[in-house]
Amino acid sequence: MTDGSNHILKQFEADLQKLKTDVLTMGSHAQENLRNAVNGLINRDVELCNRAIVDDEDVDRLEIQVDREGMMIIAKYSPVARDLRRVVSTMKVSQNLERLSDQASNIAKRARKIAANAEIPETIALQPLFELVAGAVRDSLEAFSRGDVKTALTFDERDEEIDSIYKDISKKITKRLEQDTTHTKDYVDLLFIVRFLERIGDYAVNIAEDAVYSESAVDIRHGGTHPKV
Amino acid sequence: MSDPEIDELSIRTRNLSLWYGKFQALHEVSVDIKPNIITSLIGPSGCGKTTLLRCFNRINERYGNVTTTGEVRILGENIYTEAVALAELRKSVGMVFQRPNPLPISIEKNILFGVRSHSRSRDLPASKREELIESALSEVSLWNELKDNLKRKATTLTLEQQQKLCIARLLPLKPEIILMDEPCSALDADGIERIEELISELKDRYTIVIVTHNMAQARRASDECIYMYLGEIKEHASTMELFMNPKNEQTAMYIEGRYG
Repeated sequence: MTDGSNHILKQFEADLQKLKTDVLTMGSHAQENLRNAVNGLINRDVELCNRAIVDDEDVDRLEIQVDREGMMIIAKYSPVARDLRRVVSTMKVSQNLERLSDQASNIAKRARKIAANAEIPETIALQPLFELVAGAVRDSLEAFSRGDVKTALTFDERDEEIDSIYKDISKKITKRLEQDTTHTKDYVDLLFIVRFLERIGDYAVNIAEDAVYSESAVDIRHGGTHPKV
Repeated sequence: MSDPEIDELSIRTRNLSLWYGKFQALHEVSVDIKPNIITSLIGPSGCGKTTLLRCFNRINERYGNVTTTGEVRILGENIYTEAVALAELRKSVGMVFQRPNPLPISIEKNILFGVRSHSRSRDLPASKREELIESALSEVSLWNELKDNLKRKATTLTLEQQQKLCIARLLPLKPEIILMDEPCSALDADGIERIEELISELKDRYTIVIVTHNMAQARRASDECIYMYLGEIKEHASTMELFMNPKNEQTAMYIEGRYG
């Protein structure tokens, strides 16, 4: 969070840096939980699923820590302009990451149930959606970390792509659900999982929007006009 | 040709430059200050904010060896012409200083001092005088606490009361604009809060321009902010805009407290 220039108060600089490091750490934990949950599903690996569920607690703890640090910075230094936008945006990114990790945990719980039953081939069909969503999460965090507004502004299209694949896969699973009544519960769980992945894509969009606001002070949420890059 | 929008401005300067001897303190300053809002002048020490404030009632001229060029219009009228009567100008543009400076006379005489020097005594019968004192002290919320002690020497009041009195004594002259040069810097936290509250109440009736070093005060108490650096205006915007999204890099560095 530096601009090649330093705060007169060195501690302010250090506290801002710590806040950013903590939210990025949170981001890497949340991404790992998502990866473990989806790999647990595809590979029918209950151990990986359990890890995603247990490790969600690390993300919860970091959310509380980031909130506390953000509030402390506001109370102690009364940040303004870029600094204020960065603190507030970081706290919002943290909230999105916490929800993201919760969804990863939900995926893992459903994946455990699916793994306990006879294998269904459709689980592998989720892989392309997972790749898109995981890529969106990674790139949104990268854009936030680097203050890369240009990349952050591409998320509308990415979200449309995710939504389209989500609808496609949902349709296929629903069709299988109608045809194969022996696995009804598994297909319902799979439908939920696809929905969770789509929601995670929305969180990536939120993070990208926060990245844009943090850097450019332009609020692009809900169809707001994009800043010039 | 007159432009209604320009005529409605309280203060308008164009290419205003000022030199103390050979040192140029203001460089081609052009600024529009709107009526009935609080405008803060901020910037590092020596940036020219107090000098600019003092141009608005030509008080800089008291220091000698001062050269001013350009234009300052107060309520549409250019005040840097020979036709302008300084006494009249300072009636409509009052000033409050950093350190409260009541005269070492009674509270009531302080209130009447200005108006007496501008009117004949027969225009100020006792009833009129009492009315002026009550109204001025009420406007600054001092009437209830001081009404039974109007003969008390003003210099025995608390600093906060003294500063309020200094504001009150401008009011019988019916100023349009009140200039304040760090009006709270001599006060404690309670005093600052109450003076800020008072300033905010006064803005409906007067245009207020404040010089402040206190960024939190500029944020809390003003509607618009002007950031100055080395005698130039770098940015003039609504306070919210300036503190949330400064357009000028130097403004951002200053308000964020960064080194260049």
